[in-house]
This record gives sequence, structure tokens and C-alpha cells, in this order.
Amino acid sequence: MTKQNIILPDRTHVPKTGQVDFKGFPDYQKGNLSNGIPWFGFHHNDFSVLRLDLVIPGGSWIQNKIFQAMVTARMMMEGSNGKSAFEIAESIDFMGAYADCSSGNHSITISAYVLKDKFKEMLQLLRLILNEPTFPERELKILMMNMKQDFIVDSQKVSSLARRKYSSLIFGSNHPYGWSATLEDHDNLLHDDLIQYYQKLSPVEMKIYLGGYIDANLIQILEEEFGQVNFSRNTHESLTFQMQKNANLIHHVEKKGAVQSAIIIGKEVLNRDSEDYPLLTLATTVLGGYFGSRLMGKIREEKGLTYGIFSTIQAKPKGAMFSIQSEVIAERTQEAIDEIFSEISRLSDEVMNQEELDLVRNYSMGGIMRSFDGPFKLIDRLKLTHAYGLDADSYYQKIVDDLLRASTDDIARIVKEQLNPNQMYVLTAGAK
Amino acid sequence: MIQFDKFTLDNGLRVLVHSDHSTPLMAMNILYGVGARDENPDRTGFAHLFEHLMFGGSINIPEYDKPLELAGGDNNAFTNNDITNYYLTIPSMNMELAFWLESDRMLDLAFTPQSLEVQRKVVIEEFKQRYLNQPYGDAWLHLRPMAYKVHPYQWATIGKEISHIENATMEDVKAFYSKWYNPGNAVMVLSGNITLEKAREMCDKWFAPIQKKHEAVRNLPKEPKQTEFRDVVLERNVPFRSFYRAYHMVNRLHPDYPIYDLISDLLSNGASSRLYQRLSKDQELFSNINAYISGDVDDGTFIIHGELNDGRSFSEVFDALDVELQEIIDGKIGAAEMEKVKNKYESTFEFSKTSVLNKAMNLAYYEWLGDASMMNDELAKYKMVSIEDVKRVAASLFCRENLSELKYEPSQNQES
Repeated sequence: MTKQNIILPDRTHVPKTGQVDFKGFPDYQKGNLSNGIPWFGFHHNDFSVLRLDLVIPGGSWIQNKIFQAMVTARMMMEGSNGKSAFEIAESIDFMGAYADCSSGNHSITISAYVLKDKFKEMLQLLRLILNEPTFPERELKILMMNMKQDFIVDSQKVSSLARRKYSSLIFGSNHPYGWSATLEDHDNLLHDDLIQYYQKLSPVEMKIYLGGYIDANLIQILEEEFGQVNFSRNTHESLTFQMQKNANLIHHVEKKGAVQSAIIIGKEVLNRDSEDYPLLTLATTVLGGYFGSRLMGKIREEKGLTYGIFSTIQAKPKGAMFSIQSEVIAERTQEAIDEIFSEISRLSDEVMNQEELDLVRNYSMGGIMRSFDGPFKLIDRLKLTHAYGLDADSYYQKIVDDLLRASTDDIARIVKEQLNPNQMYVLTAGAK
Repeated sequence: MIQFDKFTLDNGLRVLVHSDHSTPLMAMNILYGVGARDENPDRTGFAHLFEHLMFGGSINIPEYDKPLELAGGDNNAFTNNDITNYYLTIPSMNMELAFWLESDRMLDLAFTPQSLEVQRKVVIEEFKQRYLNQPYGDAWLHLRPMAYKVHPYQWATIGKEISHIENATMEDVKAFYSKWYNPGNAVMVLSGNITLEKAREMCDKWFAPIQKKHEAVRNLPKEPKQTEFRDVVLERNVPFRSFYRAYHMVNRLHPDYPIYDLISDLLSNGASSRLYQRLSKDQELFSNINAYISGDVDDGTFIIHGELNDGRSFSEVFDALDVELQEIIDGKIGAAEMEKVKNKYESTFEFSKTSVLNKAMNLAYYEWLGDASMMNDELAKYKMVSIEDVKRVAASLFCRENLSELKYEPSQNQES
């Protein structure tokens, strides 16, 4: 290239851009092992790494003591018949792999990232972890001691203090979504609690998710290592919990000397399987779901009260909550709260301009595309729809259709219906 | 191996292209070779403040974010002591918009006093949120000036103190831009759904017309060898004792760098690692214990950070820790254990290749260090490390005269 060839570009006009098009939820493979366990696979030609998730129904929903599900899950990595915690850790590290076992509200997930030529070895280890955990007393003691200490450190953070309390306001402290641990809870969990919880699990009902280079050979290995096993089947009573909303809307957690206060403002909202969910996510994005959102514009850029502020919907199969979260200059906490409410009201009372709606719509379409980018992310998307018993194709198609169709009136309507400021909790943590 | 193509524009901008057509997205990563180490000691926190200002509008574009969001894109940036890195992803059909945006802010910024005013406040709140309002949050603000007496690594990216940010003027900011933000001091990586031809066409159109500026000259003092043990005790309203140890180590391009990295892995990478198994689990001394290298370009630090279990004293945990460090110095390491940490390095490298954005960032960083193809040679260097290498390096590393130690002591009158 020579200098003479340079034609100066027109920098004063935005280059033409097009509507991001949606080609449906990406293809994936699926099948059943001989023992009936279903698997789902997202293939990529160039990956030498595999992600593997085993999802077993259960979670904190079926526990009868706080931490029971989470600690049982974590302790499955801490000893099996014939392998100590150290030996399990060493096997994983030697493979160059990562593996962990965690509990959500409705399932236990064993998740591993492993080079594909170590897949068989990893499956053998996970089978042992899953079928023959021993829950050694000493490892349990150390885990609880470390968790307790982390909890105490975390109690120094205003954001943690606020988050711990928030879900209990909406769901009540007897609901699995509203449970919040206390310091004492860290001393009450016993070896027998783990055994009892483990015996409720039904690994035969697991689903297997794979991402990476998936071919017939890989599935053959999966069949050999997992398809021929008689995983245990257990039953547990199907539990229902009533939400018990806190009657007071205003709450404060004191933290002396804090130079910033954490604020959480929000309420229960409709869930993912509702007709209007896509609209609600769109409204939430307008309000505080991206860098250029109204809350960022007002509270961060205009007022300089915070480093960041966002709004989000935390949706779970049995209930969804909306929240706005921020950490603001301590002395100006009330001003921030007032400004946040005024932004919520503005969203229902004033008609937004079309340009802003188009921007958020396109940004959200790009967000969907990013959330589909590659096998590992796609596993998360598919698991999410399975947790609700939804079909991924129709679920995402509906979101996209609704996003493209949404009008400014729709946004105002959904904000009126779902984000009524008079029903919102206002929770602060910091120095009063 | 990561395949890529490279070309350099006449104005000095280096461009790397890594095509991956399995994704509908394109990632654009632009690294500017400027970080907190390039700041005036009386004007610290500038590189980072500047990163914020880069979103406040450029010469022809009043707002950076909006057009990008309208095109379905998303972006962010980070600053550290060495570099400032900007990145975005965008549906590839709209890629030209990204070229338009990024070339304009490389061309010239349009600072307004108002955006400086706003970003100053935002950064001050960031300072509070990250460093002042967190338990143990001010560790690096104290550790750095203890370990570095001469080199600018003695201050954190956020700055030495809030007043430096508060006092920033328009002139300061403009001078900083003009010195460091030019094509010759930048590396751009395009990855994902873009071909080499398209990349060339877009770069010729949008970036080539940007004028070459002066070379940014860096002349930083070398930190003299530390010759005495240093320590600081911070009495704070924290629940437990904790400490940071900083040992001086080599620079990023030194042939011994991988040895230091693997020593940190032997000590604390993974649940089977030495410090976690022996000190946390067997001896119940720490609730958390970690060793890692700072990764700095100039002579960096090797960090050991521990949170003591309730009731443990510094003297007993340091005795136990020093036994572990002595074992490394003595080379009491099994061949299988060496193989384990090398395997782990290899797979971490493979994992890092599973995202277009990650690949773009890594390529940019290695290119800026000297040559992106170094990225593909790293593994071989790590594989060559022997137990003898580890002994040699550990012996000079884990010396008391090479150590700066920061301790947190819970204050007596605790507030709950």
C-alpha cells in the first residue's frame, strides 16, 4: 500500500449496519445411553478441550438443613472408596483438568474441563466420585472451618451483607430461595447429614452435557464408562414451599465506618416461562442492563455517586426476582435511592424514544449471539431451558420474536405491571 | 498452535488476524503500550483514568458506546501497570462500525471538561469500592511501595492516593494522550469471523490514514537489588490475620520466567498443590493460601498470600511456610509432580484458546512483548524446565533479603 492510494474515509457518518439476524438455537447432538441416561453434545472442530456436565436433580430444594446440599456436593470431591481427597485432587491436576461439584437450588452438578484424550480417565474418576463418596469427617471439619472463616470475612463487605438479606425479604427465610446462612449454621452440619442427603439423590435421573470435539468415538467412550452402570434410583417426597414476603419494604444492615453503602432495590417479578418475560428483560436492560443504561447515565455518569449500577432479573424455576444493585457514596445514599426511583417511574410515565428502544433491542440481540458463542456457553443455555422444562428452539425463537416486535408502549406497560415502585423493597447496608 | 497473519501499516500500527469462522462474531482487541508505570510520580492513576476518558467521545464521534450497542456490539477495557487494553465483540456483519469507532479514537479524542469531571468522580468511587471499602482491600497500596523504591511499580494502577485523581487537569490529560496514544504504540488483533483480505481492506480504509506520530520513549529506572528484609504491619478492622509476601523476580522476557511460574504452580496451583495440602489441610494453618507471579513486564514480584486460621500466630505459620520453601530450594520434588504442573500449564493454554476474545487478547499481548509467535513457543519453554532449574531459581528467590512482607493484624477494639 502506498500513501497515494489512501482515500480518506468519511468519519462523520456512522457506517451502515444491519439488523442482527437470528438463525435459531444452534444444532446439537443428543442421544440416550443404554441405561437410559440422556446426553446432549455441542460440537466444535478445533477444540482439544471438552466440557462435561453431569446434572442430577435435587439441590437445596430437597435438603432439610442449611448447607446440606452444597456441602454434600463439595464433599463428593473429598474422598471415595479407595481414593483420598488428596488422591482425587492429584488425579485431576495430573490430567491438567478442572473439576468441581456444586449444588444449585434444584440440582447437583459435577462439571469438568478436560483435554479430550483424557476423557475416559476423567469419566472413570467422576463415576467413583458420584457412586462411592465416603465424606471423611476430617475433610468435612476443614471445609466447614474454611467456609466459616470466609463467611466472617465476607460479612465485612456491604455488598455481601445486602445480598444475603435480599432474597429472604422476597421468599421468606423458610423458602429454599430465601435461606440465608448464619454463623452458627457453619457448626451444625454433621457427617450423617451428608449421608442422609446423598441417599436422596437419584443419579440415574442425571442428564449429561458435552461441549468440544464430539464424535462417535467419544460417545462410545461415554457409553462404556457411564451407559453400562446401574446408577442408584432413590425417591424423595416432592416438597412445596410457600413464599413469605416480608411485610416491611425498608431494611437496613448496619456496617460501621463503611465509606460506601450497598443498595438493593427490587421485588418479585414474573418468570421465564411467562408470556411477557422477554419484554420484562428488555425493560430491565433499558433501565440498568448495559453500560449506556439509564441508571448508569444518571447515577454514575451524571451524578458521580457510584462506580457501577445495574439491574437484573434472577429467575429460577419456582420464582423470579428483579433487583437494582449498587454501592454509592455513603453520605448520599438517600439521594441515590431517590434518583433510582425517579428513573423507574420515568420508564413507565414517559414514552421512551424509538432510538433508545432500537439500541437496546439490537444490543440484546447481540447479547443472545454472544451467549451462544461456542460449545461451553451453549451448554449453559441448554441446561437453563431444561431446568424449566422448556424447548430451547422455541424458547429462544420467542425471545427474539418478542424483542423484534416490542414497542415503546409495551415497555411502559410491562414496567407499570411488574416494576411498581410502591411494591419494591429498599435494602441498604452500610453506615447510617 | 494458534495460526495468525500479521501486517504493519505505514503509521506503525501492527495488525494481527486470526480467523475462526465457527463464530458469527468478530473480536477486536487494541492494546496501547502504556500503563501505570508510565505515569509521573505526582500524577499517578492517570493511565487508568484515561481508560475511562476514552469512552467520552472522540474527534468525530460524540459517544463511543451508543453506536456500538446499536450494532449489537459490546466492549470493555482494562489497565494494569504495563498496558491499557480495549476490546469489543460485534456481530461480524456490522464489523465496519468497530473500525470506524476505534480508528477515530486513535486519531484524536474530544475531551470535554465535563467528561473529565464525571470520570474523576467515577474513578474515586472505584477507588473506594475496590480498595477502601473491602476488608484487606488496601494491601497493594502498601505492598508496592515497600517492594519498589525506585521503579514505578511502587504505585497501584488506581494511583497512590485519591488526590492525584482529584487534581487531574485537562492539560495533564491531553499531554498523556498525545504522548502514548498513537498507532506506533498500539497492537490490534482481529479474531473470529473475519478474513485476512477483509481485515486489510478495513485497516487500509480506517486506520492507515492516521498519521504516524513521534515514538513514545520509555526510560524507566531499574529497581536496585533489595538487600534487606522489609516489613509493614497494618492494624485494621479485619477479622483475621493475613499476610502478603513479595519476593523480587525476573522480567517477563527473561529465560527464567517459566521457572518462577512453575514454582508458583508447585506451591499452589490446584487442590493437590503443596501449600494447600500441607498447610491448609494437614496443619490447618490457613483458610486460604496462594502463590502466584505478578506477570509484570519489568522485573516483577513473586507473591505468597495467606489468610491465617483464627488463633494462629504469624510466627508459627511462617515457620511452616519456610519449611515448604526450603523443600523447593532443596529440590525435594518428584518427577511426577513436575510433570503434573507442566500438564496443568499445557491444558490451561489449551483452555485459553476456546474463546475468540481470549485469543485476541493473548496474541496482542505477545506481539507487544515482541512477537506474537512467542505464544506458540511458550509451551516448549515450560516443558524444558528441570528440577535443577527450580533449585537454582528458588535459592535466590526465597531469601530473606529479597522479601517484603505485609501483615494485617486485627485491631483490638473491633467493631462488629
